[in-house]
Amino acid sequence: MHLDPHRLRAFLARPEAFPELVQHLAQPCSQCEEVLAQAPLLALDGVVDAAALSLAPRGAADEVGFARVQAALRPPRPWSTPLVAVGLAGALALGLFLSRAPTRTETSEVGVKGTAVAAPLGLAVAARHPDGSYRPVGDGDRVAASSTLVFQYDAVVALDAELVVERPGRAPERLGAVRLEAGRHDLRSASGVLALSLDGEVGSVGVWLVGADGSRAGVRVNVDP
Amino acid sequence: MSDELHRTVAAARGGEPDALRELYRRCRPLVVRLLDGLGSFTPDEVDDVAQETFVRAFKSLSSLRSDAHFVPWLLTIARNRGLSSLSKRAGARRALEELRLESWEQLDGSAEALQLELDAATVRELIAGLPAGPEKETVQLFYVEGQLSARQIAERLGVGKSAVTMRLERFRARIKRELLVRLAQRRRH
Repeated sequence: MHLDPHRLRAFLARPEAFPELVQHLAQPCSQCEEVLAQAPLLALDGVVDAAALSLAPRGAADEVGFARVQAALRPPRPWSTPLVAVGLAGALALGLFLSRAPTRTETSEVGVKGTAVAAPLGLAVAARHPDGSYRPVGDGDRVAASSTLVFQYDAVVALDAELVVERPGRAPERLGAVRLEAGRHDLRSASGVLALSLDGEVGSVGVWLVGADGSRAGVRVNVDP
Repeated sequence: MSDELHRTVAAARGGEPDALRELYRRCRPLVVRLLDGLGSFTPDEVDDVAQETFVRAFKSLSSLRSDAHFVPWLLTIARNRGLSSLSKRAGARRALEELRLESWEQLDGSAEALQLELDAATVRELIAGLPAGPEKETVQLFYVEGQLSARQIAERLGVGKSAVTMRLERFRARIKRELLVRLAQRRRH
């Protein structure tokens, strides 16, 4: 008598009802152990992990990681809150910095990390600091929560797009729709240049411009509290 | 689980932010270690899945019937999130079924009995009783010494990371088999 997933559940509920199986399991059996290795989502797994992982000395926990968890536990803000319009002077300064800033383009679905491939969209990002200065931001860069991200896009053709923010453990948040024109331009809506305030953000934040044709470009930054 | 951790879980359930922080501080290393042994995650992916795990657990803390079950419950969530993430990455047609947290303790009706039967000392005995060989060496490095990542263990032993993952899974299956026998023997007496 070997284990199967159905018999395993029955056994866990009433092990005393399976004396032959107990006798069998007292000796190594590769077939039964295969079933035990494959049977997921039982309390059995959690209990085994808790006991086995408690043997080793503990590593250090990180405060930034907990801040990310706290941020994710907070209710999401309405989409309009972090989007602000910056003035013309800001837009001009933005152009100076973004002309040399790196871009990142992808075509995979939002929420799935993938290999970068050529796409008709490009997005350059800069952090605007409280003193009014700007700094180009690349993928993986650390950015202060007091900063505001501003954007410039490259499009081959005119198309509709959406600006999306992605945070680990949360569904992507659509910040708003924009109409892109061919060429390199500041990302703007009817009210002015669009920007994303990082106030209240902690940890990894991805910002993506997603075209109606499925192309996308964006950057992921790490926000320091 | 220690009384101190038990009290911390109770306080976290009551919404105390410091208790959540303390649970995170104590349990994150376990979650990270579990994920490291599960598959080929990058450090960034481990951070992401660990964060998802804690967010999901803290949001569902009220559904946990017994504070004493917190650690195995949390690690079950971590394992499920990790396997789901690997499954999605592999392009599987269907992600793993979502774990129904509210029913964790009813999944086999024996969480408490299982915990009574298995502690660190028992696992240590089982490791000591393994025949000398690659599996014992792998398990010793990962679970007992706990300093090297699964990838580093693979490099040291001159095997692929998947071989390390398989050896760890095989060992876990051995522990489960032993646990089932102990559970049955206790019920009989």
